[in-house]
Amino acid sequence: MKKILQVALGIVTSIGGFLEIGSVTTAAQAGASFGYQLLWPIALGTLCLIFLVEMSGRLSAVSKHTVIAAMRDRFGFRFYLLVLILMVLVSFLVLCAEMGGISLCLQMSTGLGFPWWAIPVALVLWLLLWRGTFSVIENGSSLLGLMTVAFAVGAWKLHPDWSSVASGLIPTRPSEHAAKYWFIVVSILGASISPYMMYFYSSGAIEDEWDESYIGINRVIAAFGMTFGGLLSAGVLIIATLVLKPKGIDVDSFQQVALMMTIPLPNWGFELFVGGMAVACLGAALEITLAISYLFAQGLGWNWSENAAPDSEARFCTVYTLLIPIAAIPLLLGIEPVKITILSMALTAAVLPAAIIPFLVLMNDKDLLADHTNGFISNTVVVLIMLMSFALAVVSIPLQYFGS
Amino acid sequence: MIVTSCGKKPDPADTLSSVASELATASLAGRVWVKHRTPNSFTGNTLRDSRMNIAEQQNILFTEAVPPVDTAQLRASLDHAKDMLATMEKMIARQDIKSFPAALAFFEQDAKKVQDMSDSLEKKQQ
Repeated sequence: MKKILQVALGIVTSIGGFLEIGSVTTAAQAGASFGYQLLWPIALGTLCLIFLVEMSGRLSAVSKHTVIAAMRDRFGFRFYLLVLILMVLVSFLVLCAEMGGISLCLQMSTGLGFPWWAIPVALVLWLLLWRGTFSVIENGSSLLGLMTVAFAVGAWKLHPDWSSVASGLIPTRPSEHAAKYWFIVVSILGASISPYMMYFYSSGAIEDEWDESYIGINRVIAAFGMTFGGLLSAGVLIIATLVLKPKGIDVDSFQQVALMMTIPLPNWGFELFVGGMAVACLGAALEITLAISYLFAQGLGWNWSENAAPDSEARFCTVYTLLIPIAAIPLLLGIEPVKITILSMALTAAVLPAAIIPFLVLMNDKDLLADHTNGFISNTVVVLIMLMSFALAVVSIPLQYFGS
Repeated sequence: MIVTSCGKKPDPADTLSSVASELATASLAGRVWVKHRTPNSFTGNTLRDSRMNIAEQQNILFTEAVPPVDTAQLRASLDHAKDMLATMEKMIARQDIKSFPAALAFFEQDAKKVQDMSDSLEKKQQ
């Protein structure tokens, strides 16, 4: 019974963890600009994330090591330092974006500009990390984040032509605006395949004291949780296709996404969007902050655990205590969170190989995983999707920003 | 922003399409506000942001990225649309929901003209 409850909670956590400002903004942009044509990167990103999350949980459950600690042991300090720098830079931008997402939701519901909310949001984030335990943070925000199920309900209520929706799952070349098309593909993949999810999930498995008996549960949670999360993302794309595209609205602000929700859900669409997104972004911000703190603590051999008292792991707590106010600075300066989001998602795709290649080596290490190493399918799927996102990022980021 | 700082000339069709998108956003915001689906502050801010973005894009449209359309009509439509947006913002602040639909209808006439120009320019470029 306890394990069934854990599976249910794990799935809910995964759904809540999947949707955040990046996945919602990129899916809305995709639908508004290209209709159903960009459903395939959501499906590919979700598939890749299912494999990566399952692997992260399996590694921790079997080896009792987190991804970061195992990587440091296997590849040495210099390599760890390189990964640390890249991941901290990209994850920092994603953290700014998520804090911006919460601030934007508060702006939309109160009318007070988002820069005013940067400090209160930073304070709440820090307090939750300082006072909360891992399970409170993981499950609390995810349960509340279930309001984002409104995206699936909204899409359903608009009665899309399901055969057209299904045709979007097959990759096609764009008939126009090729640079924009591929840039959005990269952003969607970057939003879906976030390395911080791997670090957070594997650390969570250690925090929750998983062992080999959790391998099956881990598989179910990864598969169902991420699939439902991907479906919600697809829901955003479908609503944007049916509401924003016919009106010629290109998504470049969060307000446009909130507006589109009032068409399928006239009474509660706005409130559900603002509430659901604020909690989803808060959950993501907590996960990213913890993931960055884990990156430092596990690689440098410090004490770490979100369940322990701050005075027993001072350096771990110092990381997030410094990180959160620094991440609030761009928002205080009035830099538009959606712009930070789009840039951070594309950069995430560009740095994926640095996170995933060493991880795949670990996942094929018999000393760590004994009989639980990766199979051919897991390795192939992840390598192919990662290489595709990297190649597209290298080509499309310059194309988008500097013009072809 | 990065494109501008790198000295790349903005594309007229993209700029006009962006203006049309702002007008369509304002129109949608007005329509759902009339049906009491969004708060006053949110709608007021959305209309204000649209008006400011249109003014910003308008500067680019008539200097760096002049589109091959009837610019006199485009300028008139945009000026009128901005005036109507300012009027609608005031109506929202006063919660004057009775007069709002008429102002919105006037605004949408200009928005449609700009959208048509943007569509025909896109078609020409294809």
